[in-house]
Amino acid sequence: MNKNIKILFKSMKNTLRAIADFSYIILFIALTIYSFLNTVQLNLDWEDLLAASEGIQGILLEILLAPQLILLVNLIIQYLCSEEYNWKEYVLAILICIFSYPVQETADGAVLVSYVLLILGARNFSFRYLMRIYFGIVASLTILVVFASQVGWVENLVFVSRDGRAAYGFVYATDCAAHFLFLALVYWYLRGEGFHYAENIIFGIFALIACFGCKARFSTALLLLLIIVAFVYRLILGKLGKERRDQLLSGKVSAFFVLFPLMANLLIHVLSFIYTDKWKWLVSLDQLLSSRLSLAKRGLDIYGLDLWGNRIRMLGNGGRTEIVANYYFIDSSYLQISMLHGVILLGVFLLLIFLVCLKARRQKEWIVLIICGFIVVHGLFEHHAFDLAYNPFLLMAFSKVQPVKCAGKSLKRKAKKR
Amino acid sequence: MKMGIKENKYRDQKLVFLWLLLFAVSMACFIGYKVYIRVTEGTDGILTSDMKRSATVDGYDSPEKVAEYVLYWINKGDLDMALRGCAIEEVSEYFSLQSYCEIMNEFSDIENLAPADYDHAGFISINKLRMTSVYSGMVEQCMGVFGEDYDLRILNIYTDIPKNADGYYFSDIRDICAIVGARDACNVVVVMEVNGVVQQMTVTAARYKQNWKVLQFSAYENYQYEEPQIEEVANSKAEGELPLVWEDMEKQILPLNYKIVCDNSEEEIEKLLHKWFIYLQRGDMVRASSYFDIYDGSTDIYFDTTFFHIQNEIAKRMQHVYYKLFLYNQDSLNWIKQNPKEEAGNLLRMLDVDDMLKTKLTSVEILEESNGYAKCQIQINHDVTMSYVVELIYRDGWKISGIE
Repeated sequence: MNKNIKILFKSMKNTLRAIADFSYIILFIALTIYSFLNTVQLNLDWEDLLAASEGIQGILLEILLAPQLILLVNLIIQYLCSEEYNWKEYVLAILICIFSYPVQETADGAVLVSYVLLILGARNFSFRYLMRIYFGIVASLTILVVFASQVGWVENLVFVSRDGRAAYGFVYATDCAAHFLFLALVYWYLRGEGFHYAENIIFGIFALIACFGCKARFSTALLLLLIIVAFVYRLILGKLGKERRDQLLSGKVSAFFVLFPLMANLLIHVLSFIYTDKWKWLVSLDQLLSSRLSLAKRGLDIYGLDLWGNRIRMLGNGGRTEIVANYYFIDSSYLQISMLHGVILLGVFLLLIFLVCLKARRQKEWIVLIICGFIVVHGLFEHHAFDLAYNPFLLMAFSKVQPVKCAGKSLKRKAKKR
Repeated sequence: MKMGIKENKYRDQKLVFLWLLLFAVSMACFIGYKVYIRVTEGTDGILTSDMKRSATVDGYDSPEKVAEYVLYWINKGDLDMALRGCAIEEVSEYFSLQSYCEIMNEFSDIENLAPADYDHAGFISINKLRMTSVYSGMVEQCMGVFGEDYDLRILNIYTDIPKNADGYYFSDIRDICAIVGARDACNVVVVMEVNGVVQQMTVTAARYKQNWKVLQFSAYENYQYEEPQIEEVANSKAEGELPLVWEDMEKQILPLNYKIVCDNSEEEIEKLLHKWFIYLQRGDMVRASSYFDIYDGSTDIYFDTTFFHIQNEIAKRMQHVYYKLFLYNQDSLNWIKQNPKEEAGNLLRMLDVDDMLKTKLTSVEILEESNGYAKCQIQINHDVTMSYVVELIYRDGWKISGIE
């Protein structure tokens, strides 16, 4: 009798876990599409759409706009019905939930909390599996949006600054370039050690569009750097072999990458805080960074930093081509999170990115570690580092990372030759 | 192999420790920053010993109770306690200028309270300073009517709601509630015997969420009537039981709901004006007001109606600074003043000061400086650039004595 109950209980648990995992994937796909569409010039007001929707459509939209509760319930089921219990992971997940959940009250806080909950719920999935889904969605949507902007289905905003910069269907030119950069990073990760020198051409095309179309300096520079890094990485792998490469990267180099996010965060906060027009080098740096430091300084002076953030109404150039008279936008991901959503949420995100880096180092996923470096640098001056529409790498913090069995065609070929 | 795993684990632990150390440094920087802000910006107003008395009740669920509370503390001559029973915070936070213009069909510039329609911290803060003065005036007038050393006996307290209330009654209540943002309102009559003479006092109470506060010291029909409505009556209702035990009222303390501006100054005029402007942008009117010449150097300061009246005047000046910046279009303003009912929505849109963040203090020019007096011109840019003439006085540091 006891045995039967046990079997029944186990099968119920398995069924529940399967349902929770299935709903997680559905929610992951839906939220990826939703967050991506928010960066597209669709002139779509989700709130209006929700008000006009009825029945099932209305309920689904409501879930999409505020998925935190469903994600939380799903997360609890996932953790309770899990096959593997790791108390450290559980305590960490509970703490992250407690600290980040109140942030949903801030403007756009629901989106960030949903992303955090997605990250916590990824523990039953292989990171590569999630990235494949993500890449499939984002790559096809990006191609579709760029194509739609060229045939006139989606508005192709061309901004007057820098003698005309196009957004190719996205809300702003730099957003488009950032999509290209992050797409390239995801592609590099998925190709992994099978990445061929010739595939750098794809990154080159992205860099050309970002440079001459979007005229986004920072993303272009990072795309060019990515080409060099991917080339050198492939070269090291080819010349030195896996063991020597691991030896080379596992020491201080990887340790630096693990600590790099925190250092970058400190750097941008300190630079913004000490900014004054009396120091010429800071003024020059500010000019180079398109007033990012002085704008952040103004925000810090007026609102300061708080544990749970401040209500700051930002007005950027995105979504319209006319010049905004009262422009105010904080571009840095770290500053945006700390000023708008609070120091606590910033701490949560820094912890998550640390977990990603640490895991990548432990599993010798060097590409992920390098990619994190790119994301951290990009986050210094752009606001996409903690946005699911751009950066899915935070999902690795709790997901499973298995060593890649298939190293890719080029390595196999090489092995055969040997 | 085992050695390698151990070594890896040790290296990871070292890295985690380093990360924690760096994280602690980041947090220390944040705490240091908070301390720095606290030291450079000072405290948010003064807390007198009266104000420090902590609350024992959150609020009252009936209009009669709050009326009795306020009357008790008026009888005791305790202004601080009596003010706590008045709707200072509530009116400040929920006053709807749009409803006011639509219902009253008038807009009198800064004579009206600032709009709390968009929850702007600056306007709410201005309203608090202004409402403290209004209620303080009313409470002290009540104290003045009763005089000193008088015998008070409360005979009855009851809400004055007509038995067969008609549409006009409900329409009036709805209008009052729309303007002051209350959920309900009613008249409360207090029948009392003062030195053997039966008197009747009527107050309007308003409900915010579940608690009632005194909205004004007269019947709701006399909206904005700033004098207490206390009159002698020949016949009164039979003596009734009081909602709260009069003898135990000493223990009844409502939460503090008003602020007293502190004294602040700077050694440099430019620094003062820049800091004042940041507070203005932030909507921190208590700190912005602290740079005004409120305290004339005298040691005996009484936080009474006279003081609150000065706070009120400063708040009005700062409301004027906002209005000048946002209602700069004189043609539109005149049109709004002529058609307040129809243009209330437009007025509110023009007074949406949430984007003060984009406002810049573009210049500070000292026009005159001699014998502890200075006059300077500042320019503030929002959609347009507006000039203000600021007069300053030196009293242990520069303070603002006037702004136009």
